[in-house]
Amino acid sequence: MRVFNMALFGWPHLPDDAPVGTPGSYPLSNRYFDPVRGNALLQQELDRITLSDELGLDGFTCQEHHGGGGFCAMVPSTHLMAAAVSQRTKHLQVAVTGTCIPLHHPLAIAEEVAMLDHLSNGRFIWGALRGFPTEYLSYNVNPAESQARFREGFSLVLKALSSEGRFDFDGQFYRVRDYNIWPKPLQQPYPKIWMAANSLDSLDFAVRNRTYIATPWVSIERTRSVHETYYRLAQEQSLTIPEDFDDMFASICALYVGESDKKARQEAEAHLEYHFFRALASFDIGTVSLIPGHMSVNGMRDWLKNVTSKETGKAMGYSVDEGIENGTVILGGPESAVAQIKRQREEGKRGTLLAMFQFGSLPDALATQSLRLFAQEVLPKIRAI
Amino acid sequence: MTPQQETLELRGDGAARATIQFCYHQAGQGLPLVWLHWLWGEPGWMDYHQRLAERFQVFVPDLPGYGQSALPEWAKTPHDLAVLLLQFFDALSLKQPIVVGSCLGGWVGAELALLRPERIAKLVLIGPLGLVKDWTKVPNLFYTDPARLPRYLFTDAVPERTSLYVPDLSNWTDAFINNRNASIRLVFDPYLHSRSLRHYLHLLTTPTLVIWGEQDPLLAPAHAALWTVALPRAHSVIIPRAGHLPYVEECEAVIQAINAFIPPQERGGA
Repeated sequence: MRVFNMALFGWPHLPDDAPVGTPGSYPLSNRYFDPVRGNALLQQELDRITLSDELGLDGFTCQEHHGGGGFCAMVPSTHLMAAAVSQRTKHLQVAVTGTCIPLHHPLAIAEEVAMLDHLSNGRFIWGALRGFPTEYLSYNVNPAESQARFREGFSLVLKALSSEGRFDFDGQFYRVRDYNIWPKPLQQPYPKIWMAANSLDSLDFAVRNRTYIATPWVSIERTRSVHETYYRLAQEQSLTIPEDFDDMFASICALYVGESDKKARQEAEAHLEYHFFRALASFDIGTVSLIPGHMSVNGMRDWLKNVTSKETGKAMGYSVDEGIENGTVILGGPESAVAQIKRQREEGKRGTLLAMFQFGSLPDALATQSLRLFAQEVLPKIRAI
Repeated sequence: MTPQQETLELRGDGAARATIQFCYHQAGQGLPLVWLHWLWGEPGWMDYHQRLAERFQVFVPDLPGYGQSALPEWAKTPHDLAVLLLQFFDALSLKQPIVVGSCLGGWVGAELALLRPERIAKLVLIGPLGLVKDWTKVPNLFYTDPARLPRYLFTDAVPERTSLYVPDLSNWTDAFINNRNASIRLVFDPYLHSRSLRHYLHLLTTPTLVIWGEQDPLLAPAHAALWTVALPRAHSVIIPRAGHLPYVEECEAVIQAINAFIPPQERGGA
């Protein structure tokens, strides 16, 4: 099992009366953002990423979110964050999971991917993401075009990264004549690519483009089914699967290791709940998903069934125990953590954990303490899993 | 009077003309009148269609992308819809119908008249989209608390009346979801308007009636003047106690305004 530190750079200081998860609450008012506290959080998180490198973790990754609308995170540009991390670390892989393609020009994405690969001495992994419909509203990109722009943009990024010499591109949204990027990436023809895929459609796209899969915040049951589907689709189309596909098959979780199960729970439970019910709710998931165009009719119908059956804004929230059970949370003393991670591998087919060491309102000192304990007591025992 | 419900398959010519399917309701006798629906589609054959069918041969098509009418991939604007609608006119031999368009349908009607002025006898625009004073002040129909949506369209959001147009969240049908998906594709950016349309409108010489709900919460009735000032042959009628779809709240007042604009002795070119 491989473990990446997935840094959310989330905001732990939301007052109780801050409107999150209420209809129309995106974007989160930046009156809640205190620049001095924000800067401290950012620097502390970067220090923990440097420590992750020293402690032997496999990688770092972060996600693109805008307007405080995803965990109140402060990473609207994953590429800038990856650049910073590439200069602070020596060994770990530097990933982004990922870049919301339609919100940027695909040529700029390709050029930055190539730069990041050099800045990291070939340690870079790119991630392709479609993003949330709210982010399209903010950037004034038509949500009805998000799928088509994502796919076309993706092929332009790959073409720009892999073209030897000048190329032309004639798309519905992007047109390029007689251009090539400079520099080319260090890893040839281009770095490995993670795609956030969950639906059958997106998995099919991933299979055909030979990308690796990083599932979003989903259950063990779900990752197993995604894994199976990927293999089935590849087989049906007689497409080869990358050799290291299973090891790269990634999933997101919150991870906290304490001295004992009891202590871990005492230290982390309230902060996990903040993550579930405050930070996650900042997606305003109930309303966001009603933005037309982003989802197909079938997708929207299924979603409505889910949303209208739950309290708005808590559609993604659940208890800590449910989180442990469904595999989105790893919490306990070292032995329990090892057992839970084994289960993630065996039952969830997960090969890489994108683990949030800081989540919700977890204080810096506790996150670092948990990271050290994890590296010392857990990491050696899960290497061979 | 029970309307006929028809589906029209239009075979493309492999070049310019699209292969496309139109679904429409039709009823009544008299001058042909084409009703172009609002942004989220027509809930069906309604009382105002029925009233118009007492005098006119009324056609109510689902615009391309709505209902069972298909939207070709290249079509992205109300102007593109107007081009497709001309194929519909040709197929039904509608030589010079009266065109009544509400909201999005009004914008499409104006585009039609600009494209082929000789194909439209008279134009009625009911709270048309297309010209917007300050789009940032117009309620966001695409991102809001769904409970608030009826209040963006109606003066008196009485559920029995409004739920056909904006159903409660638990009653969103596939058809309604599909219509909303079509709508954002057409009018997302620039929001509900065009940056070039107002520069074309001096060329639109078709006799035009602009109808506006006095209490329109989406686009204030001051927008009517943007049209009447720009159009050489237009006047406006403001409907009291009505919102963005005035024919829903004040059906008779709207019918009277249309009837007054098209006197009974008048003969169209159809």
